[in-house]
Amino acid sequence: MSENLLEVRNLRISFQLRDASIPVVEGVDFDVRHGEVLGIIGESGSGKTVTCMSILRLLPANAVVRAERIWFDGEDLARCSDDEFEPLRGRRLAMIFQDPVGSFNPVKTIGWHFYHVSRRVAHERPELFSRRDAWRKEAVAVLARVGIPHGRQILRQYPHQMSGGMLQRALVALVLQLRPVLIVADEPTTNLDNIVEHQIIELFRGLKNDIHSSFLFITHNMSVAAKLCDRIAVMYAGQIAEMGTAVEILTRPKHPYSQGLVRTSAEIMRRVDRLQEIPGELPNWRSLPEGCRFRPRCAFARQGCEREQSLRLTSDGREVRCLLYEDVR
Amino acid sequence: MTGAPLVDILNLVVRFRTRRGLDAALSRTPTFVTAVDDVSLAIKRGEILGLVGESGSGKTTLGKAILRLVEPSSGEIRFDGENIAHLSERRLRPLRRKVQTIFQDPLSSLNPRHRVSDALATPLRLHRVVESAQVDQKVDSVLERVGLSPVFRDRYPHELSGGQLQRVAIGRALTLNPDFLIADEAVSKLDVSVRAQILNLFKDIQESTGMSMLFITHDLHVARYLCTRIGVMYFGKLVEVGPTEELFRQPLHPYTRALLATIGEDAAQASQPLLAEEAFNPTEDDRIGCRFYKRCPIHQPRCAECHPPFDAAGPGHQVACYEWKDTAKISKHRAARVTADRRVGHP
Amino acid sequence: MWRDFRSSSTAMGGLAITLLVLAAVTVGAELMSYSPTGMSFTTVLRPPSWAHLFGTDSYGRDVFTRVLYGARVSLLISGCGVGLALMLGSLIGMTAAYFGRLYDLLVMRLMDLLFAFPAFVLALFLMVIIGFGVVNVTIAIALVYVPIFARLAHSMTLAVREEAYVQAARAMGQPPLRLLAREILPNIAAPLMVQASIGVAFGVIIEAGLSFLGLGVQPPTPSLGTIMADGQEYFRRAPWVLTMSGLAVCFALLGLNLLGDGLRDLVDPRLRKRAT
Repeated sequence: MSENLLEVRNLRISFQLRDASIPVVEGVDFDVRHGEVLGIIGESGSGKTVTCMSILRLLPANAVVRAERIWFDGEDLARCSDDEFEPLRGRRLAMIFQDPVGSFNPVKTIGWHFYHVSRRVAHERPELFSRRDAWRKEAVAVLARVGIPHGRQILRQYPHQMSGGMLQRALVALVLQLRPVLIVADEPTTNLDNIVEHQIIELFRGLKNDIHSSFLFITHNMSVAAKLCDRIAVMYAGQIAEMGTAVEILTRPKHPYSQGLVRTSAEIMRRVDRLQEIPGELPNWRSLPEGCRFRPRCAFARQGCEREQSLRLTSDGREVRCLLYEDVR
Repeated sequence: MTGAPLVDILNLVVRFRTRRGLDAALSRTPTFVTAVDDVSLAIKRGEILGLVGESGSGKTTLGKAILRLVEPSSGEIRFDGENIAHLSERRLRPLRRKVQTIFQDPLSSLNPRHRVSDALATPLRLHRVVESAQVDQKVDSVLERVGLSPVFRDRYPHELSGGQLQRVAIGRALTLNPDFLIADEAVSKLDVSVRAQILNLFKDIQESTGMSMLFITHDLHVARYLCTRIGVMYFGKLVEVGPTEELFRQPLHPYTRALLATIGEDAAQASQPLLAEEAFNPTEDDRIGCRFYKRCPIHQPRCAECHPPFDAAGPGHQVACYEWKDTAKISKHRAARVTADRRVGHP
Repeated sequence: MWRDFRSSSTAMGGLAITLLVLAAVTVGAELMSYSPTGMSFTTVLRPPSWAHLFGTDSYGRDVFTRVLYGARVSLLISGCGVGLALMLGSLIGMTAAYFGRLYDLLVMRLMDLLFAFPAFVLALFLMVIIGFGVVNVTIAIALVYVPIFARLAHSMTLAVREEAYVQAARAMGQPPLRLLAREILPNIAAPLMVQASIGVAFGVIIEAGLSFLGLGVQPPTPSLGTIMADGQEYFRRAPWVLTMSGLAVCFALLGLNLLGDGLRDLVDPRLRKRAT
């Protein structure tokens, strides 16, 4: 399966609380191919962030992560010990978090961050330390690539002196310095203003074609997903509701939840008199509905929906967790 | 929608001191930050005015100033004709009933130690809106109004979802039957599907009560859905204001055009050259001339000298720009990319 | 909340010991057949036995009974002193943080002034000025603790003051004092209570020290300090008086400290808990 960089099979995550075990992600399967951007779309409580954090082992101590397989570039991460995993994180696997400001040490310069990132990959990229200032020159070059022209000056700055947009670019530059094979980006533009968000997305778009990393891109914003992602997985209440190519999902969504999301996003951009709502609320973890988790809110609910639904493969290559569609397997 | 405006803001300035006492006296750099920089704006009865801008534009501070949660440094805020900018708390109290607010983060806008029924009953009791015996009844009717079942009465904030919390916050604001509601990024922290529900709720309420609203947001789409007029703020200044559709069809200020271009509005996109980004946070020293000068793709020398006054560009449509007539005529082929180099002039 | 408390062995242990101590000094003391002040020259300086659990002192008094009554006095003094300090200090700290400006400046610097003195030195100083006796010891303890509660309440109020729900209450027109009581106080109460329970423990130490020096509770009223002072005089001949009373003090303080620690752990990281 050399086409896939990352293969996740039957991922299950639960949180151990004092009195109960809360299942947060159940039976998630997905692949990320070499050089592609897989978007994970979902709202809060869908499990999208937890899923991606689990791959990087960044979940708190009370998280219980089980999977049949987490195949990454030749290794099964599910079978790795923490010691074996440690060298991968921050080298071949990198993460870009939501809050650019919080990702930097406020009492250190940007240059300090670049230095330490360079040191982390010194083994794989010895050219960074072949001469005294090599890593600095490379940092300036990478900064230029993300649209920061005055690299030398920026390296001397502290995070609080820079705007949010600039910091996010610098963060992307830091990650690029690592030359990771997989970049996990968790809603990297949510905290940024419209104009800056637009520019960062354009940056990602440009980079995607240049570098050879794959992306796992988490977002709740459809328009962002439309611009960046090759394939999309829509998550609801800890499961994948639908998966397919970005174009297909955003223009012809099949699962009723995806349809609701796409419709709401589209409507707000047009001049409508009244937005159509998806009625109800996300189910409480302690009281999940029987069978299809979206059933209580679904306009198409019918006989059979109260049974467990599995992902069905439709004739046009889409995976949908809904009995409205025929499984061709 | 006729007659005198309900809220009339005249030359409002709000400054915050960053250094005090001896520290300020000895400092050579500015010792204050100007959040609202001489803004004049009127909100008519029964309208929903949108206030749009990025973080740091001063839109939130403007809202807080109207509520007197921050003190205006100078200027007037006329509510129903009366200047409330420097009124004492005692004189202000009866007026507080008429102006209410919804905050951005629904969880922190409710006291974690109070139940939902407490949160809703407090304003009722404070202003003696109904008889003591009828408070419970009123609480139930408010809950119903915002789409929550009575079962939520005894819940605590941490037991509710974001959407439910915001409904409670809206309910709390409604208990006093205010004339004016200020919603500060009221849907920004909500998921897409919940956002639709809350926006519809706002629309319903406004339609049935005829309340005036100031809807502060950074999301132009949301503003377009809800608001009849929109004002655009940048770095403390109001740069353009006009009827919603007019603004979307014919944005005049370069900043407005850039905003609309990023959300994919064709009218602006075709002719809008790309916007340079701020490399460093703008400071008080940058408050000379047009505040947008450094990022503006069509700036002229005179723009650096003095911030442009408002120019009337149509009925109800005003723009603070010297060059707006040119942008209105910009041809589709003008798409020169402005590099960042020209912008960063810091030492 | 109670469930979490139950699972913390520190808190439960502390609660158990404290309750035991409280029971002993209230009910237990009354049950003793000996009088705390009744002298008997036939049973002078007897070592601990079944008849006299802690032995007798130089006046023939049963030390165990005296310790129980003494602990009652000490705990009462400390409890009242700290209670007074809690109320006054919280009020000062909250109002200073909320109203700010000159009032804040003056009041908190006054608190700093008081806080700068080592607790015992301050208490000593006060006793010298206002005189000896039980009431004055209580006042001294209160004064030592007021700045601690004031500073705690002050810093917490500064943080809570900026929360959206406080702003909402202001926007609603809640008068300031009512706002402090309804919105702010409930959200800062927990750490204050924790501090109070630890404070009572130290208050007992201060009282014991002052009484030991003869500046606090006056004989023949027993207090842990006076008993220890007594026992110190004839330590070589009858070590049990000082030792047993000292151990009793340790035991009571252990209970209070564990309780305070347990409460603190309980209160600290669970401030924001969302159930999703």
